[in-house]
Amino acid sequence: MVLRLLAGRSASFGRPHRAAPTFAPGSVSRGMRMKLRARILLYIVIVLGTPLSSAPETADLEKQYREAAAQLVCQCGGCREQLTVCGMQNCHSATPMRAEIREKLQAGMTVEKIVDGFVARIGKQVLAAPTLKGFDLTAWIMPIVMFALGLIVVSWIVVRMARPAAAAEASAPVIVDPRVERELKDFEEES
Amino acid sequence: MSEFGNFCLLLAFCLGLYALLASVLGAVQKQHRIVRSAERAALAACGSIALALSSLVYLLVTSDFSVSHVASASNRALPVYYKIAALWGAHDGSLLLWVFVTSIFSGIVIYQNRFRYRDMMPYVVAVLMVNLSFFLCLNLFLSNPFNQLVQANADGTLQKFIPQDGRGLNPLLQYWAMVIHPPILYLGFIGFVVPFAFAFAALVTKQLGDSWIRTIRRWTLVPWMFLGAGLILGGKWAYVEMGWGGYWGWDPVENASLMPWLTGTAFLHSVIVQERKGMLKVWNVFLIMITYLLGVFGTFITRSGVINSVHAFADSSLGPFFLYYMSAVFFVSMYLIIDRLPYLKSERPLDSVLSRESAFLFNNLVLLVACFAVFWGTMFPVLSEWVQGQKMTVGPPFFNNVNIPIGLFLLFLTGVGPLFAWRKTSVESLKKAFFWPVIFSVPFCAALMIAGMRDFYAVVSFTLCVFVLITVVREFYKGASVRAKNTGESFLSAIVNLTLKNKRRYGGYIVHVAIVVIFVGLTGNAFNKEVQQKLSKGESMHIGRYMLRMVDYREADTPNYQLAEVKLEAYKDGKLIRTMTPEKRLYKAGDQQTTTEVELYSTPKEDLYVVFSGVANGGKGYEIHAFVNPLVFWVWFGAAIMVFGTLVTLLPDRKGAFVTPQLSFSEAAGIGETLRIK
Repeated sequence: MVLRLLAGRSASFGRPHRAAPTFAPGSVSRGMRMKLRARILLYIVIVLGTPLSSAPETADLEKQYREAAAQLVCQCGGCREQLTVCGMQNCHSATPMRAEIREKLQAGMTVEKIVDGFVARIGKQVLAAPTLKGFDLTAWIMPIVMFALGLIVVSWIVVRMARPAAAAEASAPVIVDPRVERELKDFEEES
Repeated sequence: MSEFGNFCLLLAFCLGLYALLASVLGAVQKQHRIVRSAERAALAACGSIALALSSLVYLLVTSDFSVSHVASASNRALPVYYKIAALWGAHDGSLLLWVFVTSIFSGIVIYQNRFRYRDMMPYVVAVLMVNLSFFLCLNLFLSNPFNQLVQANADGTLQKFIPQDGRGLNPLLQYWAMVIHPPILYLGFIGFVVPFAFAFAALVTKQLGDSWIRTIRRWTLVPWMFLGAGLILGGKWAYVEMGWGGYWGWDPVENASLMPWLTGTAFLHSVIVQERKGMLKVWNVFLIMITYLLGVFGTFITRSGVINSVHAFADSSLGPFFLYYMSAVFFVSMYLIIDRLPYLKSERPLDSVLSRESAFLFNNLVLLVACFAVFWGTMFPVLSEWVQGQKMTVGPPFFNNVNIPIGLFLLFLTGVGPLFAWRKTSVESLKKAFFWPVIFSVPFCAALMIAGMRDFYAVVSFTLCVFVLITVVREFYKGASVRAKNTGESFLSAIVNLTLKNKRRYGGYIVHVAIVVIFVGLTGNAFNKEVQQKLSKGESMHIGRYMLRMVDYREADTPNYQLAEVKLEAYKDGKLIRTMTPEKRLYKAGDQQTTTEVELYSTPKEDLYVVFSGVANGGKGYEIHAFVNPLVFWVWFGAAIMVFGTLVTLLPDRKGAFVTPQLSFSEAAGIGETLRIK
């Protein structure tokens, strides 16, 4: 099997080896061609998708790597996911981007500089969140503005609606019947 | 069979239109018989849709690839249950499922209320049929699952085309949670049409008292529960199938289902104020309209392709129709609300600024702001493209930064809200109410800090979780001890009977506990660990307290996919806990997609999450990506508690209680007040 050969002589869990099929031109059925293509694809996916650098990294570098990768978006044109999320193994965009981050971190660059470098080269669309400048700032500000507006409106409503009751209570002498109070309290506890 | 399915859809559409026209005509002319005929036509339409759905299931199970939907979403090698699930594997079939779920809701409402609310029902039927007919229209004319495949001959004539095999179901969807997640989510999404229909009917008939609110209580809770469960199931699917170690990625489609859940939650709280105090009438009508529209908006986002998403069925031809429909519903409803403003006046004023009522108002505000933040972030790429000519990504860094503080504030309100008494709370009683929650949560917070926890949000979140939990426990304790003393029953049975006596209140508290538990799970995110390493046979890697030792690698072939898997021995503190076999699969059908099959070792404390990323070093090494995700278990467990709590509130009342509701507190308070101000 192509896969087994490529994966080394490790073989499977004691399964007998099957003879490799011959792929003479013209003799290959459609199903076999599909199978072959599937295997080649799996090979590409598994082998090429794996990051090239294998040097052990310190926990700190790994943390910085995650920090940078989370700020950047895969540029493959389809997923637009963070580099920490994009799961496509042979991704032509995320894989080299990840390798570049690791490389630059090992060279001593800061997360900020690495991210800025990507933005300078690719543009703002490489970022996973809007910036704090220009029109992008509205993305961050609007929820706060809405909260502030809402807070003002709700406070106004609460104060305005509460006023007539308070005024009525202040003007009318309240004679509290202890029995009614007690029953109200019981009712509240029950409900 | 496909012709039969198509005919059933067309018949349902005609019946739906007839029911719509007849119900309005019957209501205007006060002709009971016409209304009855409309209701029967609506029920027949629902039956017809069920037949259409059955015929598509039949076509899928029998692998009839002459039908475009079957050819594009299924293949011969699929197991039967996935063949059925392929119904929602492509947008046309999933739209049929959507229509079917809508018809179930509509059918039940119409049948259940055939003798009740006779003046409101024609308009309820009309709204349900507008909704049903709209989706049926899309399903019939723009996205028909029964379309046949054809091929063009050289002479220009068309001929039926039947492929040998289908393109297969998207492998990412071949997972148990994915089989049940879409129908459950649809039950939530579309279920809000029922409360909306009643609100609309109440506006038209000017019956804006409490009766419509009481009628729809269950009809709001049911979709709310399904939507919540659907959201979490979607998270479970993403966690196990996507292989990136997380369960929530703020994807537009996830956001689309979160938004109606947030407004639905706001509505569930604010209706309580209307029931008790006759306040917030305009607000409630508006909220339920927004909730329904957000459900439709979610479908629009998923299907229109306007926003980039991993699991959206992009079909831009549908987009404009959704926009027309949503605009029409919005403007007609707004017109009605404005026209009926005099009927929507509050019956009584607010007694005090410090009261449960105002706490509910702030709860609504925070929920709506959370919903707005999600909406704004989801739509910002479109807006940015419009303004700046550049489509940008608004991803998790934005949503987390904006929504985590809002979420924590909401958690705080979950705890504080029940501490306020209805009508008026004195500072003295507040002090008393806050005493125990503060006594427990402040030292807990200090203990966390002393233990070395430095993540600000995590400390705040855990502290608030304790705070809220103590408030809820105290509510149960107070109620049950009074009951145990009065009735002489044991404390435990007092808790059960107390809950059963006031299912709504205590069921609600159980849901609050669920929210706390879910927050505990979410907070675990702050402590996730992740290690990626290449291992050869016999080598091992360490992550937290775990060690993974590479034992073997194998490949295998199944009819549906090829797989490559590694065999790893997982040790915890030096003890072998289990053998793990994460896989990589290559599906043979369609686009020959690869998927990652994660291997999980889940405990309440943490999950060991292992992904096989690929073969490295020319076949001598194997890339393993391991995560330790603390407390994830509690997210799923919290969801189960949430469903349980909602089911408790949904338990039927004793016979007759529904028709003749007990004196509400507002009414009792009204009597009290008249006695008071003499």
